[in-house]
This record gives sequence, structure tokens and C-alpha cells, in this order.
Amino acid sequence: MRRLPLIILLLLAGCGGGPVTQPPPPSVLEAREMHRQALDAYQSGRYPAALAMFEEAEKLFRSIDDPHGIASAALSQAELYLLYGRHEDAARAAGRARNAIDRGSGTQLQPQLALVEARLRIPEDPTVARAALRELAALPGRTGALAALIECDLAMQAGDECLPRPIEGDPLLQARLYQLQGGASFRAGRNEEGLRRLQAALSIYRSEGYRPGLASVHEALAEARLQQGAEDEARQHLERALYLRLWINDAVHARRVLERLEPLASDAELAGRYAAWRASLHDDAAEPQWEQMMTELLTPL
Amino acid sequence: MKLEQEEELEHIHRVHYTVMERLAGLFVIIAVALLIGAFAFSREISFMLADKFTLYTEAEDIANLEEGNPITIGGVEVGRVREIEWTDENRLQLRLEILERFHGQVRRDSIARFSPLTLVGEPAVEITRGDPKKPRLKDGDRIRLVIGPTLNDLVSQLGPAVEDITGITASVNALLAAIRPEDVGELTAQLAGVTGNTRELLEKINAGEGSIGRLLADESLAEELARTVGEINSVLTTTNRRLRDAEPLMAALTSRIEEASTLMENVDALVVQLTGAVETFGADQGDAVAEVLWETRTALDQAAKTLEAIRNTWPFSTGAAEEPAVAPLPSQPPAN
Repeated sequence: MRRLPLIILLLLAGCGGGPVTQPPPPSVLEAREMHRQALDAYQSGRYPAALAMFEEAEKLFRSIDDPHGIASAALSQAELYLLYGRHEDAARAAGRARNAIDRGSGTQLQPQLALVEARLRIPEDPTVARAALRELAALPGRTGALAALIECDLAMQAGDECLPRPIEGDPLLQARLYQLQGGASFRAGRNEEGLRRLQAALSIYRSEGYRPGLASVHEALAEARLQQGAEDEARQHLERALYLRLWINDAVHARRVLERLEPLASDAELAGRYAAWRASLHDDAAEPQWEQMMTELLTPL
Repeated sequence: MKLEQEEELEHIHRVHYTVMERLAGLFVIIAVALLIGAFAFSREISFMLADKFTLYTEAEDIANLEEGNPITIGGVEVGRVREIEWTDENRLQLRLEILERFHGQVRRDSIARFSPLTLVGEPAVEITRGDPKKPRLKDGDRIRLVIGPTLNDLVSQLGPAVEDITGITASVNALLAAIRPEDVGELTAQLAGVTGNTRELLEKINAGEGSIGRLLADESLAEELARTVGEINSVLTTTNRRLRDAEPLMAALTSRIEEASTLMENVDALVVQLTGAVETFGADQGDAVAEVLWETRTALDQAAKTLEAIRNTWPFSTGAAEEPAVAPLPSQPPAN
């Protein structure tokens, strides 16, 4: 017992000692490597592969009980599902990220998760979602800028006035801003201005190789052409959007494009083909199905 | 008439001067004396007349040094650059004339130095005072000339230094981005709390008239002690785990910080020199280096901010937060 104070002091002195050199265990490295590969796959536009790898990374992080890793991998899946318009899957992934964060993975991921949760609330309750987005818009960096942009988009759709804040240094957000401004121009009847802004967005997405953005601008351009009565041009934009959606295995948006393509089909046979595709296109469609549709889309009847 | 002529003749040949005449003569003498004095005490003239010895030196490039520029020892002007001419080997030979009375300062180990970036006055050759135990340089001997960096030298050195600083700062920033400051803060607070509790407990034990046994007989104190030891063990386990995980990060961070600090000092010195040079040189030359200076200052500011951030992030010297090895996919704009 007399040695207790000495032991305590020695223990405390240990706090000031240097770190012990020991590499992380192989299981940790394996999980991190899988996550890194998933990010690489996303960066090179291989979204389906990225999604599969993020799922695998989450499993690996669970096996080593790493809450931060689990939260990161789950949040990444939520982002991808959101991009695909698969809100139920995104909500499930966000829930898993929320659990991991609550278990103590730190607060670093909190703002990004809050943004995902706010975006998931939009279809059910836009008012609540907008309030959450307004709160997040005060944050610095990409999360704040994106929250402000989405809130502004919702405001404009609701007929409210919104002055988007300028965005610098983030091409994808800049392109989305042009897209949003283009939509506002069309709504105000300034069609030429709207087309210019959508073209500007298209140029940025092309230079960034961001297929989801390209597809969404083509869809907006098709809408604009339809308003002007230019059905052929509208169909061309929709077909390009469909090809891009199929390329990234985005079933939800691809079905929506097919729905709009059907009435524009040049003949009944083509309309039938579009309808058949739409019926067969499931969210978790297997890889060969996408390839087949893309080939058929490029092959004239 | 004859009388008037005799008086005039007498006036011309008289030997006695009036007061006015004497005064005028005195002024002439003083003026001549002043002229002779000014002539005698003029630095240039006195230098010309004084005893001198000559040294020779050679250099590839003497920048803006010219004939007639002063030679100094310890800031005192002791001579002049008398002649600059090309040698057969296409080098520049300088003839240095130095006053004989300073010969004792110029020894075998003396060096002539010239800085093209002289801030005040005309460019000067500085001769270092030699060791009195060493023999004097003889008249006609050679002395080694060291030319300092030119403006171009400084600019060419600054470029890579700026790149290095920018690179290091980017690396350190990337490493910092992987740190969760809230974890470090939490850990530090936890440690501080436990340390405080333990110190308080030890004070209680030591204050009990040296009787540990009597104090430990108090059941509540014994429990408190056990709980504190438990807390310390728990915190230490967490600390060690986090330090182990963060060890590669720490090693990288430490080396980068050291590199950045050294570079910052070097570049800062260069910037001071360059700033002086810009002020000294013409406006055109100043414009040429202004951009480099601006970039350097920016890089230094960035590096300083990063180092400050590190100090804020690492509250105790060897403490480290857990490295978040993964970051999620960045938020993407909607694609609907």
C-alpha cells in the first residue's frame, strides 16, 4: 500500500510517454483499403462497384467494431442511394450511420449525416426539411453550401423567392447552381437565358465527368424543348439522359426518363420497347441487364 | 607743381602701411591658409598623399562594384577600389589600395567581402580583421574575395523554398484534417480530471500526519482511491490505444513540422533580405521580385497558421488523437 502513490505517479507519467510503434492489425488495414477502393471507384464514375465496395467495407468495419469506419461506409452508401433516388435504401444506410455516430464515432460526420437526413425528409415533409436545411446552410464548407442550394431550389419550386449564394471553388455545386438558375429563367419565361444556363451547367458536368449531373441537365433540356414544341430534340435529350442513367445503373431515374420517352416514341414498337424496359427495370437489376439495354438503345429498330 | 609730384613720389615709395592696408593683407593670408588647410585635410587628397599598400583579388562577377568604391574594415573606410580589369583568364582583377596605417589589421586569414545587396550608401568591399598572430599580407599580395548573393540568386533560391513550404503545409493540413480535435480535447479533459483527483487524494494521504494507514482505514477514502486508480487505468488504456493507432500519423506530422519550421526560418531571412533589396533597387527590379515576395509571404502565413493549428490541436506534446482512417463520400448535389 505504501507504494500506491508511486504507482499512481508512474501511471500518470505514462501519459507523457512516447507512442508505441505498432502498425494497425491486418483486419483494420483491410477495411480501410476496401473503403479507399470504394472511393476510387466512385471518383472514376463506377458507382455500382463503389456501392458494393462500401457495403463490403461496412461489414469489415463491423467485424473490428470501428464505429467511425462503419459510419463513414454507411454514410457513403446513403449518399450513393440518394444519388440514385433510392430513398428507402438511403434512409436505412443513414440509420446505420446514425447508430454508429451515436455509439461514439465522434461528431465529425454529424453535419453530413444531418444533410442526408434533411434531404430524405423532403418528399414527406418539405417544410420541416427546409427548416433543417436552413439551419445547415449556416455551416461552412461544402455541407453548408449544398444545404443552402437545395433549400433555395425547394423555395423556388414552392414559388418563394430565393437568392442563391455564390459558390466558388466547387464545380459540381456551381453547375447545380446554373441548373437551378436555368429552371428559374424558364419559369420566368426567359427561355434563351434558361438554355444558356443549362448549357453552362452541362459544360461543367462534362469537364468533371459527372454523369448524374449530365443526365439531369439533359432531362431539364428535354423539358424545355417540349415546352417549345420541339419534340424531336426533347426525345434526343431524353435518350441521352437514359443512356447516362443506365450507364450508372440508376433504375429510379431511368424509369422516370422512360416514362417521359414513351409518348415521344416515333412508333408503337419503340413505345412498346420503352414500356417493357420500364417494367423490367428493378432497383437492384443485375449487371447484364444494364448492358443489354444500353446496347439496344444504341441499336435502331 | 613740382611740389605735388614730389609728394606723390614719396607716397608711392613709403614703407609704412595704413590700418586698412594691413587688414586687407591679413584677409588674403587667412584665405590662402584656409585653402591650403582644406587642400591638406580633404579625405581624397589626404588619401592620395598618405602611404598606402596594394592588394589584388579576382572574381568571376563583381555585380555593381565600381572603381572608386570604398574599402572598409569594421565599418571604417580604409581604402578604395582603384582598378578593375580583365585578366587573361577572363576573370576580373581588382586592385585594392589600403592606407598603410591599417596594414596591421590585414593578415593572412583576412577575407574581402562584397555584398551586391548593400542597403545604405555606395557598395563597399569589407575586409575582415585578421588574427594578429598571423603575418601581415604584403604589398602586392592577393586576398580572397567573397561575393554575396545577388538579387537573382535570392529569387532563384526563393522559388523552390516557396514550393517546399506550400507542399509541406498541404501535407500537414491533410494530416490535421485526419485528426479529430474533439477527441483530443475530450481525452485531455479526462486526463486533467483524473490527474486532479489523484493529486487531491495524494495530498489528503500525505496531510494525514504521515499516517496513511489511519486515513485508509476510512472506508470512503479507500473506495475513492480504488475508483481513481480504476479511472487512471481506463484513461491510460484509451490513451495507449489511440497513441498506437496514431503513431504513423504522429511521426509524419512531427517530421513535416520540423521541416516546415526550418524552411520558414530560412525563407523568412531571405524575404527580409529581398525586401531590403527591393527597396534599394530601382522600381523596375522591385516589380520583378514583388510577385515572388508576395507568394513567399502567403506561403509563410499559411505555414504559420498551420503550425498554430497544430499547437491548438495537440494540447500535450506526445498526445495524439485517433486517426480517422476513412472519410465518407463527399455530399453530392442532387441529380434529379
